[in-house]
Amino acid sequence: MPAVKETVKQVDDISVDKYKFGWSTELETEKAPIGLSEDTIRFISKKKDEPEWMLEWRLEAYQRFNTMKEPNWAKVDYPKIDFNDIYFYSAPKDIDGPASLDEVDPELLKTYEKLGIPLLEQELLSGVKKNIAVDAVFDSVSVVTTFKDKLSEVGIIFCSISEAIREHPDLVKKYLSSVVPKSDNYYSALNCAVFTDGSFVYIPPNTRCPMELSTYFRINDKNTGQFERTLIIADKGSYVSYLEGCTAPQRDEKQLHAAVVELVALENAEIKYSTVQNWYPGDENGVGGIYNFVTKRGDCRGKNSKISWTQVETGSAVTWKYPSCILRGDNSVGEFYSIAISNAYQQIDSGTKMVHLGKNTTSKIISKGISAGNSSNAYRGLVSSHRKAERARNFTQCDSLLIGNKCSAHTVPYIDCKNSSSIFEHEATTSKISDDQIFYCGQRGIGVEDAIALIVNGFCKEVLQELPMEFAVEAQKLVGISLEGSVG
Amino acid sequence: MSDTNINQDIGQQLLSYCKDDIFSQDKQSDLYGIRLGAYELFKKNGLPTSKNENWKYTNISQKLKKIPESTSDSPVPLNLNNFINNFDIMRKLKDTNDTVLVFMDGSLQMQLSIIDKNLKNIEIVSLKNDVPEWALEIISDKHSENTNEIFNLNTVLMQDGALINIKENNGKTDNIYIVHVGNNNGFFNYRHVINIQDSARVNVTELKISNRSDICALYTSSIIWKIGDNSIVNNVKYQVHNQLTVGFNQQYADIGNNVEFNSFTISSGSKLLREFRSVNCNGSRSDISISGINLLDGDSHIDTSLLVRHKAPNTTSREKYRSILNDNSRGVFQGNIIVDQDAQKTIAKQSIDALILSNHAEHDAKPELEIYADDVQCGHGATTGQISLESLFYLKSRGIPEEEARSLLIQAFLLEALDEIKDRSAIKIFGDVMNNILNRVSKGSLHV
Repeated sequence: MPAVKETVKQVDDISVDKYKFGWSTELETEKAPIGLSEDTIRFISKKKDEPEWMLEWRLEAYQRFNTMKEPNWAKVDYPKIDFNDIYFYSAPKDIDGPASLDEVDPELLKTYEKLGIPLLEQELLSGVKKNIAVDAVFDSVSVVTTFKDKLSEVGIIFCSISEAIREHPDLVKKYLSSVVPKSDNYYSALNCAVFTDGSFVYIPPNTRCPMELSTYFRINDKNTGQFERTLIIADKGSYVSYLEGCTAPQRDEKQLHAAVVELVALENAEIKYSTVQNWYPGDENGVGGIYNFVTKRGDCRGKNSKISWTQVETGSAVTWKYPSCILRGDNSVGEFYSIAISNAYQQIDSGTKMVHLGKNTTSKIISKGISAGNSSNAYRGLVSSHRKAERARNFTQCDSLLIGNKCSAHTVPYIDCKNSSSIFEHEATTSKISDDQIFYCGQRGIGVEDAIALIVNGFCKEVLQELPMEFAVEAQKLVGISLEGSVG
Repeated sequence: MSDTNINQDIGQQLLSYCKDDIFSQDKQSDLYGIRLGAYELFKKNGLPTSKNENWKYTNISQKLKKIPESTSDSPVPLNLNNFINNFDIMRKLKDTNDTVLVFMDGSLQMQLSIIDKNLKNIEIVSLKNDVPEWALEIISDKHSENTNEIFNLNTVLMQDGALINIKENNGKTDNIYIVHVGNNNGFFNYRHVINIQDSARVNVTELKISNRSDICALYTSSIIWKIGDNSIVNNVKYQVHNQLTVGFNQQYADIGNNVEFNSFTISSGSKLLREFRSVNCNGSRSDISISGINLLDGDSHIDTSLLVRHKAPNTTSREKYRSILNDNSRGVFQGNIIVDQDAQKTIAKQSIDALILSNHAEHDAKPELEIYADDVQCGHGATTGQISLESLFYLKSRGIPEEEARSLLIQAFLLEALDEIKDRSAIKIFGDVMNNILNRVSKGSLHV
């Protein structure tokens, strides 16, 4: 079992510092005036060289945001966020479009090296000859997008969203906020008003994206909020696999991250979206960490389309995230695979929504929640079928694992069935790692922490195997690290 | 438009009804202070709306526009023989020689009830009379910890009810039947308190039935159980309402050590029926089952909301619910299991299954788990679907006509939940009534 051995070794390696992404990079940055106001929004829009319609779009969202209230139904508890104490725009200075990696600030490159997900990851994974195109978003601004030329040969557009607004306004106008409306929820409205960058992907009809696309997000600066916006459009008969990684430095204050991700799959198209979220979770006493309030939604707009979400959530102090699928096209498929690990004082309220609107639509939800320390981990999911969604089919499995008696695990599924031909199944279990298992490992010379990492990896296997190869190794490592110190 | 009441929403109507009622109450009564407190709370919070998470799927004001006016077309039968002639089930109950309490439109009818004066271990008092100390204590305890809007409404308005105190009876099991007959239009509120002392064994069976299909009744009822250590309690409730009844049932149970508590509910009919059942496992080594079946047709809306809380170690709980939905009916199930930090070694299982027979029916389920202890086994399963076409084909290919095959499959579907009924004697008495309803629901003849 090389993968498992690898994990145990990795856990050993990193047992000295718990959060290995905890450094910050000294870079000169340019910031918007602190706080949220129309002026801030105008400033951002101007900085981004945006056309007039985009500014109006933002201001409208801001007005909607002002009329909305912060949601309080999630099982998370955090002090009220003061929007006047956050920088909504922070950009590394000197970003006049580097054409290649060589032109990028060497300090930045060092940063990427430390990350362990270097931009040219394919070299690391010897034996796997696969290319990955990366869009790196540093604080709020997309720094560099690799392999752009190669992708454009087959007609794929992969660039930062600001560039897309300038160069492909028709596509952006047509699809932006068509999946997540401006006033969908409190944080999505905020994101619409102040989003600073993000990735844009368009896959032309009948094209299979030749490489994995990837975005890497990092919050670096103090007191900044990161608001990125991702829009992926898979045109008829196309396929794309997209990876997203996130980290942040160790800081005492809480930082806000409110992203919106929209996926559109047209007829016969397939999108696979994988996330490894490892924002700084705060220290063992719950000081610092990221508020991760994310709206992710995919729209299976055409017949036979498919959207698959895979997520590994190990970071953030507070997570509020429900990647969803709207199964509009007949025969469309939605999938959601999730591992959510909470330790120390982390709070996670995550899950998915599968909205069955078309005929013969199917969905599958596999969610694994692991809570340790004083953390709280909730699965919240909705499966619903419309009257006309004949023969809709769903299978949901959510398992929770508790480590220690101070943590808690919750399951809140909503199952709304409006017609007789739908078949929905839901099952959930809660359990702990049994002493027998630990004892068995102990007998064979595996220490308690290693044994837990081993058992948890087994518990999560169903989800881990859905991840692309590049992420699977990293995710396995994370599973081990996140649970360190959970047994005392 | 002359009557301003019609323009008021149901919450306001109920509030002014409560206001009138509270002023007419005897201020010297022991319950007055509790009623007044509940009235203030109800005034403050009002009726729950669908914005309230616990009422997400049930909109009261949609189903209930106004409080039905009281009528007295059907008088209360003068004596037991008179009653038996019109109500066949009563004959069977009389033959059992057990305690039978009869309520007509929410009021206890002593002349129709059968109470053996020689039974020394059972004390039965009507809520209308002086409330004994033990009952007052249970009522005020429940009131002080409760914020449920409907429970408060019931506290303000409770007009009658049975206060039953059961002592240990040399290891013998006592049977008590509580029969509610809806006879007239009107708004009825009643409350039972059942105090089961240590080591007692008792079967409590309830029947709620609408005597006529054209009466329009609104009722709230609460039943508070206090169950002492080492006792065994089986509770079965049959609810056979007509399609016009709106009912709100509240069941609260506090359970001691080493108790076996099986509570089963069979519900059918009703324009709107809200079944709220809350069980606190306060003692260790107890085993509880909160289960039931719902049979829905016509425009029925039945909402079952469960809250099981494990507060002590080594307890087990099972919740098994099966629903059959036909016509335009809507079934709602919300079940929450909470395991406190101290409640290690809890085993809690919940399964909710719905069989939808019509394309216009809807079933919404929200099975929740809230776990704060680590050494527990908790699980829930929820399914919704239709009759398996393969099974149907299998039976048909063996010469069973389609209709019969369907009814066989429906019965099989219910059987697993029915196994949770531990007191089989009640099935003999009420079996026919239930079979008639099951036949009606399976065919979906009631196209309203």
